[in-house]
Amino acid sequence: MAKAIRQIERIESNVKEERAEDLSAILNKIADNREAIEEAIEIIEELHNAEVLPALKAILKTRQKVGAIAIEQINQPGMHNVIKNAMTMFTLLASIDSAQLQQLAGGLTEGVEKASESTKQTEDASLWSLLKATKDPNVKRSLNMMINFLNGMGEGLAKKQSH
Amino acid sequence: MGDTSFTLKVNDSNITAKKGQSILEAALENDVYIPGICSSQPDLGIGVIQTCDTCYVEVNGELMRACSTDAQPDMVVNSVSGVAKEAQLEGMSRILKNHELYCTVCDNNNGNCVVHNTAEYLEIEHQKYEFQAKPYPPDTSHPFYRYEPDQFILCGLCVEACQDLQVSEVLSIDWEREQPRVIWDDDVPIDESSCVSCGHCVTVCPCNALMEKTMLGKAGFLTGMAKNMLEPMIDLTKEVEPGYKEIFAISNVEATMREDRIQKTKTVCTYCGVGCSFEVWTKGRDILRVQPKEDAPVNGISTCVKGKFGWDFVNSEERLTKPLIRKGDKFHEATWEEALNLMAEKFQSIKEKDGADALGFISSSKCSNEENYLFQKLARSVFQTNNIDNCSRYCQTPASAGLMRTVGIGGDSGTIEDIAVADLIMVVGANPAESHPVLSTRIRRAHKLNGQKLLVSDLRKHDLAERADLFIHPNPGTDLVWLSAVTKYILDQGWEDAKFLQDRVNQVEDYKKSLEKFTLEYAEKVTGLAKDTLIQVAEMIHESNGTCILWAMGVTQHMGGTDTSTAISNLLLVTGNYGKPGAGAFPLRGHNNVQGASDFGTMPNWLPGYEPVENDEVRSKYEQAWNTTIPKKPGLNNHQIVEAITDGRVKGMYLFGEEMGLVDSNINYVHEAFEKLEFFVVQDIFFSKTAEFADVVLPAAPSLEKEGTFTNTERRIQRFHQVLEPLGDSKPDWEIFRDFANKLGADWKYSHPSEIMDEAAQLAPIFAGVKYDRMEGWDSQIWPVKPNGESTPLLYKDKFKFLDGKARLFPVDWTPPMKYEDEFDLHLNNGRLLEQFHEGNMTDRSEGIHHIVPGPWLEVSMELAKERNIETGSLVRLISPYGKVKIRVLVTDRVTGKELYLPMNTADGEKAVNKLTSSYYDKDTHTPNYKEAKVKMDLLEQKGESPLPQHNFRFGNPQPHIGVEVEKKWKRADFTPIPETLKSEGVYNGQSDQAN
Repeated sequence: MAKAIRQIERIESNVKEERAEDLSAILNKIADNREAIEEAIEIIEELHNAEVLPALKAILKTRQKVGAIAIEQINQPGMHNVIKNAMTMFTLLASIDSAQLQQLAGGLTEGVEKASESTKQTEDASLWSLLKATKDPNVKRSLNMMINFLNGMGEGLAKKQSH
Repeated sequence: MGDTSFTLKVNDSNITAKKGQSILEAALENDVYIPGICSSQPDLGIGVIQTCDTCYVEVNGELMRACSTDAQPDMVVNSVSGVAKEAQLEGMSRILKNHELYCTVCDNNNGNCVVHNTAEYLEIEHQKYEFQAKPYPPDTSHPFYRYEPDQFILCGLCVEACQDLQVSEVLSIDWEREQPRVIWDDDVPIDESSCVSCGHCVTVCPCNALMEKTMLGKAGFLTGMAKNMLEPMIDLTKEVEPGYKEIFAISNVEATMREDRIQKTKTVCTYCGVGCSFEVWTKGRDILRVQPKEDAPVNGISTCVKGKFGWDFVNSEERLTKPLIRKGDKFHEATWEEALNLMAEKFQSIKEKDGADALGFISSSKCSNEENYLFQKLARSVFQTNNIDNCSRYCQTPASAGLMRTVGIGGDSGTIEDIAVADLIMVVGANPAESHPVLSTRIRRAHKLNGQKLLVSDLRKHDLAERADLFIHPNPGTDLVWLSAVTKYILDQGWEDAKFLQDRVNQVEDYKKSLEKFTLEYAEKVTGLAKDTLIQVAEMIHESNGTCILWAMGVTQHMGGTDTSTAISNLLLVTGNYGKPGAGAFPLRGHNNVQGASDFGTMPNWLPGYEPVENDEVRSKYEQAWNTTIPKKPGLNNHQIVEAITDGRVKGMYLFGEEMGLVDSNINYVHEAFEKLEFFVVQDIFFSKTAEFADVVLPAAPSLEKEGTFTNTERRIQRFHQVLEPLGDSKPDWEIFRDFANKLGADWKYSHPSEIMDEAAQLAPIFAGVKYDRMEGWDSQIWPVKPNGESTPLLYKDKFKFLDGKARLFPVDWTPPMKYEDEFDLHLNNGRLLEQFHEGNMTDRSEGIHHIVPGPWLEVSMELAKERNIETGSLVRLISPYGKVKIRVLVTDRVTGKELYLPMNTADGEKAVNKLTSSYYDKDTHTPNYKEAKVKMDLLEQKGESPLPQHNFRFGNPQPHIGVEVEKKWKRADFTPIPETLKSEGVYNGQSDQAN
C-alpha cells in the first residue's frame, strides 16, 4: 500500500563525495600536464613579483569603473586624432615598398653622415663651390631624386583635392 | 513534356535556369552569388518581397531587381558591373541609414548575419547616408524576444513570415508614418498583441532587430558590456573607423572566436508529433537560442512557442538528479547501485511468486525509438511478459486500428508536403493550430495564398475553424454518422472513384449495403447538421482534386473511436484519395514519438514493426535473436493493467516518461490502483504526480541530454544529438534499461543507441534500411525503409498493405456516446493548448510561458454564461460521476450552448480534467472515452480574476494582409527608385561606359 508522498530526504554526504570526485578529476589533469603546470606557476610567480598580477587584478575588479573612465578619455576628439593618425601611419607604412624604402634609407644614412661631417668644417662654403658641387654626380643623383619626389608629391596632392 | 530549362549568361558564365525562376534564384542555384538581403528567406510565403534593393543587376544594359525579374533564355546579366555595383551599394547605403553597424559588439555577429555579410561583400567603405536613430524605444515587453527599431532595416522578412507563413497576421510595417517601423496588431506593445510567440519573425530577421532575449549580452565576447561602456565604444568605433573593411576584419575574428564557446547541435522537438528539427545554440548549459534551418525536412524555419522558447526545464532546480527509494513516508536519495539492486530483487520475487504476468510495463511516447525498443525487449525477453503498452493507447491507437482495417498501415499515408499541396483539407476533431502548430502553418499558408479549401468539423470554433471555408458543428460523438452519410451520398450521386474501387478495393458491395441506414435524413437527425450542409461537404470533396483528412482525439477518444477512424478511411477509399500526392489519411500524432513508440513494439500485441506476437514465425525470429522465449499470448494494455492492479493480478509496475497519474482518465481510480501496487518504479526527469506513488524513482535524462531517434506523425525517423551532459546523476533511459537488464544477467552490451537501431533494423522488415549514418545532418528516413535505405514518403502508390495488395472497405456502425443521468447536463470537451505541453511538467517551468499561460481555465459559452449568471473570472465547481474540480471561467464564443472546454495544462489535482473523465473506453482498442464526459456546474464565486491574463494572444487583434506591402513603400514621397537616384548622380543611363 503505497500512498502518495512528496517528501525527499537528501543525502548530505553526497555533497562531499561530489567535491572529492571533482577534485580528483582536477588533480588528474594537473598530474598529466606536470611540466606545463610547473612552468605556468613560475610565470605566475614572476608576474606576481613584478606587480603585474596585482595591477591586473585591480583593473579586472574595477573593470566597470575603469573601463568607463578609459573609454571616456579615449572617446575625445584629441584621442580620435591620435587613433586615426596612428592608423594612417600604419596604412602609410603598409603601402611603401620596403626595397625602395631601404634604398632611400641607405641614401639618407650616408647623407646624414656626410652632412654631420660638413658641420665640422669651419669655413663657410662659397656660392661658387656650391654651384660646382652640383656637377658632382652624387649630388646630381640626390637633386634628381628630390625633384622627382616633389613631382610625385604634387601629383598626390592634386589627386586628394579633386576627390 | 519538353525540357523547360535554358541557359543565360551571368557575369561571363553560362548558367542553367528553369522556366519561372528569377535571375536571383537561378544564379544562386548555380553558385553565382548576387546579394539580396530580403531574399535570404525565399520559402516563406509569397516569395519575393522586393524591399531591400540590394540585388540590382544589369540586364541587357538596364538596371533590374534580380529577385523579381524572370530569367529568360539567352539573357545577359551582369551583377558586378560598375553600374550594378553602384546600385547595390545604394541599396545597402539606404539600409545602413537604418542600421548602425557595430558588429563586434553585436550579439548577431555569428558568421551568419545577412546584413553584415552583404555589406562586407559589397566592400562598403563609408556611410553614404548618416545613420538616423528612430524615435521609438526598443520594445522589450515580450518575455522571449525584443524589437529594436534602431537596428530595423525595413526589409519586412518578419512581416512576411508572420503574415504568410505562420499566418498569425500580427506584424505589419506601418509605411504611413514618417519613420516606418514594425507594429504589432494595431500598434500595441508586443506582449499585449495577438503574437503567438512562434518565433518565426526572430528566426528570419537578417540582423539583430528582432532577437531572442536569451542571446542578448550573451553571445559575444564584448556584448555583455554595460551600457555606459558600450555606447561610447560604438561612438568611438564610428569616430575613428578608417572604413568598414577594418571593422569587418575585427568582427570576423570575433565571430570566429565565438565558435569556440557556442555549440550548435541539431535536435528534434519533443512537444508534438510534427517532428520539427532545429539547432540548439548553447554556451555551457545556457541555451542561447533555438535556430531552425531551411534544410529541416518537416518544418524548415518554422517553430511554435514551445519548440522555440520552451526548453528552460532542462536546467530546472527541480530536475531529478539522484535515484530515490521510498522508506516509510519519505523518499531517500540513493545510489544507482542500490536502486537497481532493489528493483532486480523485487521484480524477480514478484515474477517467481506470481508469474511474469504480474508485472506491467508502461512505456513513453516522449522517449526515443531505441528506448522503446529496449523497454519492450526488457519486458519480453528478461521478464517474459507481453504486458507492455505506451500512451498511444490514450490517444491514437483507434486511428491506427481504423487504418489497419482498411489500408493496412497505421500511420499517416503521406507527408506534410501532401497536406501543403492538397486541394481540400478536412480537419475532423482536431485543433492543429494548438496541438500541431507548425503543421497548421502549412494549411493556413496554402489556404491564404494558394486557394486551398478548408473544411473543419469540431465542437469548438478554433483557429482553423475560424478560417475554414466551411465549419460544421455536429452533435458530440456523431462524426461517424455524418461521415457515413456523406460517403453514401457520394456513392448515390455516382461521384465515387469507380475505377479505383474496382482495381484497388475489396468488399465494396458489402460496404455499400452497410451504408443503407445512413441517409441524409437520419444523419440530420443524429448529428444536427442540415441536409444541405452534408451535401455541401460531399460537393467539396467531389470537386477537389485531392483531399487530405486530418483527425485526432476528437475522433479517437470515444467509445466508437476506431469505427469513426475507419469511416474516415472508408470515405477516402470511396473517393480514391489514397496513393496519390496531395491526398490521404493523416491521424495527427500527439506526442513526438507516439508513432515510434508503437512502431518499435511497446504494445501488448505487436513486436517491433507491427509484427504480431502471436505469429510463431515472427516470435521465433525474436527468440533466436534474443536467445530467450517470448510468451505467445498478447499482454495487457494500459487500461487493462490498471484494472488488473485493482483486482490484484498485477503487482509490480515499471513506468517511464509518462504522467499516468494525471493523463489517464478517471485518475481517482488510477491513483487507487497505484496505491495497491506491491512495487512501483517511476522513471522521469521530474518528480511527477505519478512518482508520488512510486517505491523507486529513477532520474532520467531528457532528449537534449542524449542521442537517439524519434518518428514523427509522417513516419519520418530523425536523429537527435546530445546537446548537454546529463544533469547530476541522471541517465539516458536506454542506459538505465541496459544497466537494469544486466543486473538480471542479460549481458546487454549496447554502448550507443545506433547499436540498438541496428538490431531493430535487422529484425523488423519495415526498418530494414534504417541506419544512423543515413540520417546525418538534416537527413531523415520515412518507413517502410527498403534494405538499400530508400524511404516511402507516400504510401499505397501501387498497393495496399494486404496480401493481395487491395484495400478493404470495412463496414462500421455508430456507437452512441455514453449516456449520463440528466443532472449532468453539460458536455465537457477537453484537450491541449498551444503554449503548454500537455500537463505542463516541462513547459510550465519556463517563466515566459508561465507568464503567457499561468494555468487552465474553463471555456463557457456566451449563452450559458448569461443563463447561469456567470462571467469571466467566476469560480465554478464541475462535478461528474467520477470526481470534481474547481476552476475559473473564461466566457468565449469558441464554445457554444451547453458545451464546455477544459484544457489539461495543470499538475494541480483540483483543476485536473481527468478527475472528471470516466473509465469507459473505445470498444476496439480500450482508448478512454475522454471526449464523452458530462458534468454539472455549481457557481462558487461570481467575481474573480480572469484565469487567462489579458496579455494572452487570444485577446489580441490580428491585422491580416498579404506580406509586407512594398507598394506602400514605393508610394512614399521620400522614395526614389534606385535607378533614378543613380541617374541623378550621373552614374547611370547614357554613361554606362563606366560599366566595365
